[in-house]
Amino acid sequence: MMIKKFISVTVVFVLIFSFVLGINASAITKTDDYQYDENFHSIPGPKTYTASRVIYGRDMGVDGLTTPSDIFVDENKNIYIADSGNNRIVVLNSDYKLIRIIKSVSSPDKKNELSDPKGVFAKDGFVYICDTGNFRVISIDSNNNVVRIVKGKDLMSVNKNFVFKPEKVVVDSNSNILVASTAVYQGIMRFDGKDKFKAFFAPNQVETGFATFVTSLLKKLFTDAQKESLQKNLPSPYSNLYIDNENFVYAIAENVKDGQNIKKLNSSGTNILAYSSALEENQTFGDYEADDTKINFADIHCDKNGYMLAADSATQKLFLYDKECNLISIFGGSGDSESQFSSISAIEKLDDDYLILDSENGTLTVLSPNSYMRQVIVALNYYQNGEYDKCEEIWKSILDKNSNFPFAYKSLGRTQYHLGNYKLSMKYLKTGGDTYFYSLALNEYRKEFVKEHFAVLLFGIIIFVVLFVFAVKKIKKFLLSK
Amino acid sequence: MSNLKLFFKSLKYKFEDRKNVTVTNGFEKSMLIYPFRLFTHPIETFNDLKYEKKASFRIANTLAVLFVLLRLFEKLFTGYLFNKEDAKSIDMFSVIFIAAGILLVWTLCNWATCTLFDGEGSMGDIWIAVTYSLVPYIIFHSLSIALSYFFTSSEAVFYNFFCVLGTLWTLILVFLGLMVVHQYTVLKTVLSVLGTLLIILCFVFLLMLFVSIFQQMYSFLLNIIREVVVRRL
Repeated sequence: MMIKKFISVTVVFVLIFSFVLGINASAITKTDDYQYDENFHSIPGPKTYTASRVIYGRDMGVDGLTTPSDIFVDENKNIYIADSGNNRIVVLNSDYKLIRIIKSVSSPDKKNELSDPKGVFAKDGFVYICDTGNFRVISIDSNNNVVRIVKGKDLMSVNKNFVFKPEKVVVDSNSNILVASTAVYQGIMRFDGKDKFKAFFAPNQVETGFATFVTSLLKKLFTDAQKESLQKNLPSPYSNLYIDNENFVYAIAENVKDGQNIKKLNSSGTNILAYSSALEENQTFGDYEADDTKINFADIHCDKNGYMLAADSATQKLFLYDKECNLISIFGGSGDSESQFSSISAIEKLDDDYLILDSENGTLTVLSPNSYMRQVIVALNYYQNGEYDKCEEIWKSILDKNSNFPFAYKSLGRTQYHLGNYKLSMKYLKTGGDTYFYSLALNEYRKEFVKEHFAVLLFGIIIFVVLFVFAVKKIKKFLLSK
Repeated sequence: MSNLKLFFKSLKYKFEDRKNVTVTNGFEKSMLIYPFRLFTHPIETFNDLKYEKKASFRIANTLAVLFVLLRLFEKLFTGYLFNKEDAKSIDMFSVIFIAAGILLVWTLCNWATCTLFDGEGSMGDIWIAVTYSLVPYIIFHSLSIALSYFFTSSEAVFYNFFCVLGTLWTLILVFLGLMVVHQYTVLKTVLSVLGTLLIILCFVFLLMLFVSIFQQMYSFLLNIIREVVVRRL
């Protein structure tokens, strides 16, 4: 009896102590390079992109850049930088040497000096400039003659107080001009080839929650004056745009729901971004473990293979995603070293390198993939082209360098699935955390297994049922016997 | 209207009155049949358990231990597709603590509530009613653990069916068990369940208070010991 009591008292104490002194697993510090494991916990990761050059204004052949706010690379690999603080556009060639400076244009409306240009875009030899200080978007030819002017007059007829402050501009293949402005909550503004306003495009949804519900109830009791003084609940404006070769617009919005801050819009304004199965449950862009800092993307770029890079202006981190929004790499960060930034304003891609424009430092940083990242890119390309037999070896050598890379396991698993090795595939997919393909592989494996062991399974089940019934009867008889 | 009348009438329904008896601690091998008889004749079995003295604390405690272990196994061994838990971050002790806590706190609080409202069941009666009711939970959930390895995501309905069936059946049995044990009407049982939940809230609040005070006392003592050691008084 004593022993019994002693044991029970010990057990209770152990339980209480384990409860009280529970040790929490500590997360790593986010100043180092990190990646996420299959359960979205941060773990140390390898370096992927490192700075190969940091270019100041004097290296380009101009005096320093002052709060540059946009960068664009055209089809001839010329680089356009909107140097807002100096009211000019700087055009560089692919060796980062100066070709031309656009400071004044010959415009039919006599406003010839650029004022605070916040956005730049180039297509077919024409340069499109968001001349924000002059409230217009202009397009100029190679002799600085203004060819097109968008002034948003039609918008003023809709709303008298409307201020046309264009900040980012993209042009699609039908010469439609799409303009984003942080002052406009109705969506992206679309102007047709004749510079006439057509429509607002893909407006964001208003965030509704319990608070909005309560205020909407209270509003019924308020006077008109009180209603006026209330904070208006408006949809978020778009802060940046990118357009790819197929006229899909990538748009970034602030203060929206987690999965909605990056959108891929088709011509009718629907978000057609394909999420991977993992993200559908946990749909967030940016840090999964973002504690206090809210994600606030500054720019997005999508290359011809569908890899999206998004720059977060809150943490100065860059997030690289594949076509299905799988997070491939996180790099950059706030700091003073070469591959860190003070205030990212725009990103572009030149060949394999990413060009990062820092508005506070007035620098252009060239980030190049290291050998590890190059291997990842090659493997990803093979995978997306369906050359599964080729990418298997590369993924394995990537895993030798970074065995914590869930995406590598995922791809290996999917590769094995396509090759028909379902059991091996399941093992990889489990490590990579890919429930969707795991389920598919399990289905196939189950089919295979049943086909192979059909006779054994059938007889096994019959024998089991017979024995079970028999055993139950016997046990009942035994228990009820005196 | 007649439906409403029937509803109110059913609230007053009560199983036949029996003379109250005290639980005794005995065991015969025939008692092993009763957990399984609950499936076919729940009310009769609960009656037999209490008033015919067919209950055994050994069986009850075994079932409780099985339940706690099953809660743990569910977290550890459910197949990959249906296991929402991150295997690296499962705290075994907290799982055991919570599972055992649910049973113990429910029994304690139900007893505390029902003694105030003419419940005839003793703490032992309640413990037996609650633990014997766990049989469907144990059977169906262990079945669903095994099946989770065979089902794909698109067949999740079948997996969930077994889980929900086990849980619901157990909850219904607990309800019936309390009705029989306390000799309550339906309405009174419902009220007593709500009361029990309320008492549990208070209990948990007090427990938290106690734990936090305990923690502070612990760190206070630790500091004193440290100071004494460092100063070499």
